[in-house]
Amino acid sequence: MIDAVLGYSPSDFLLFSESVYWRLFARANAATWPAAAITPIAAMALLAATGRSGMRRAVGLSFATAWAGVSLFFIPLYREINWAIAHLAPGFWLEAVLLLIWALASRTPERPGPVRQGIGWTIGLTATLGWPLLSFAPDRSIAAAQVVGLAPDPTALATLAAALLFARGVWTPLLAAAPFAWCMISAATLLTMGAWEGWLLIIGAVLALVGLASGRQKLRTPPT
Amino acid sequence: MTISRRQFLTGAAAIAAGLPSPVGAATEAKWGTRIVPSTGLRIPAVGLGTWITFNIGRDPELLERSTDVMRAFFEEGGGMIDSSPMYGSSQTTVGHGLKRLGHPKTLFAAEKVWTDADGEGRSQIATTQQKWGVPAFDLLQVHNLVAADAHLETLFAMREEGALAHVGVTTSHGRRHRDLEKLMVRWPLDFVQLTYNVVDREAERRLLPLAREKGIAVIANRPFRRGSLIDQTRSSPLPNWAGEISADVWSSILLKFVLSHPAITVAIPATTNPGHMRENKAAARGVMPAPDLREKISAYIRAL
Repeated sequence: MIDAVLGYSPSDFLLFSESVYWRLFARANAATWPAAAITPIAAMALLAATGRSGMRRAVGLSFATAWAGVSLFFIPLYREINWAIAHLAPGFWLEAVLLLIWALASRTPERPGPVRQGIGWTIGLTATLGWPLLSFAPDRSIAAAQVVGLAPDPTALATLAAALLFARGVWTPLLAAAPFAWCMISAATLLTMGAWEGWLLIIGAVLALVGLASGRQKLRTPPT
Repeated sequence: MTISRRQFLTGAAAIAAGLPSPVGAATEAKWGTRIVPSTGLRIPAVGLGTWITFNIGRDPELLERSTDVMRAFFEEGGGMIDSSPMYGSSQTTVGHGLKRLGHPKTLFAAEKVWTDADGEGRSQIATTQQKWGVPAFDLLQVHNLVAADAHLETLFAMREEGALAHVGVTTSHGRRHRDLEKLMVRWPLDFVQLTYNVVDREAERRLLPLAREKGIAVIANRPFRRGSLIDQTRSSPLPNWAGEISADVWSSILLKFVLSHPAITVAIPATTNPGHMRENKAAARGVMPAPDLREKISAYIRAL
């Protein structure tokens, strides 16, 4: 089997057509409506609360719910047409658990440095509000808008933003690892399909790496 | 000297290929059928591939559309439907359509074994059978030569048991032709499946002549190169010589090129469009291009 696999090109691993892939999002949105209309705004509001006291727990719990939402409502649909997803599905649940533990681990508020904050906001805006707007492009459908909490790509990007804006120390790379990996995997799939959104994922993931490397966060003492 | 039933049928088929069909002449003309050399079975020359096009999950709208394609396929004479465990949900889609259409009798069910675990062949076949909802397959093939020898042992044993009619192997994209040639020499295969179309003609050098010599039926996959040949020719007007072979669409020219090679038994184009399915089926009927026109077709399309 290994010999056979090595003889293939990337397009040979694409088992489905582009149109069938985009329809998955329409099916997920229809099955969970009106969640698809609410989650992008909720996610944006959470990210906007950067540095506010007590928000890390809310962010952690909400994003854990988002990854669980992707696992429950989108991954089963994707598995119907892509058997390889079965091997990646546990990673979505693992990320949800990590976010949950992080949410409960510490109550100390923190504020990121300017570079990390700028990058986090950029990625966060793109993921929460920008990504659903991609469905207005030609050959796309508004019904298939990809939103945080239902679609893996904006969920991964928004989680990278949350890690940059709210996490500190080892938690930042820990929470960013799975979303980063997913961005790369999904980008490979999208680019093989000829979908330019793949480049956005790569740019977002690389920006997140820059944000991670931008230095330690500045801590702000909570008011007494 | 005694001869086996297969040897008798192979010889008879070779003779019959050169003679007008007696009772079946009208059937052959209507549906464009070809003879499987090893068993003498006559099957339509245009089948239905399911790679990508039938991998649609449980999408209700797309399942209905695939059933429409299958309905058109059977209304035009039916024949070989080819799938594989590798093709995602395609097997389930086929099973859905067969159930909706009442399991037409003209089905030639062709499937594949795709596992590198030697002992898992039969269990995978059983799972596939459940998805199709058929009691047995007409043809089982070792997909992309994965664990070929082990699985061929299993498939030939199944044929001896009467659980299977034909045994074959597959490759695609011009890969592993040397390995395929060795298997064709070593095993008494009924079918081989390989990529053959107007630009991918590598098989003409050795594999197609070998198949004719050994009486092995040939299935041509990727006759449209997964649609790229259709895209390439779409905006070009049909040349004058298209009328010589009664081709009124480019897909017909592309399929007639494939089917006009004397070694080819079946081509398995895939489609999501019932109208295109009917056009594909029509290509198996009527005049086929002679050798000089085949070269003209190939050169014309390469130049586009």
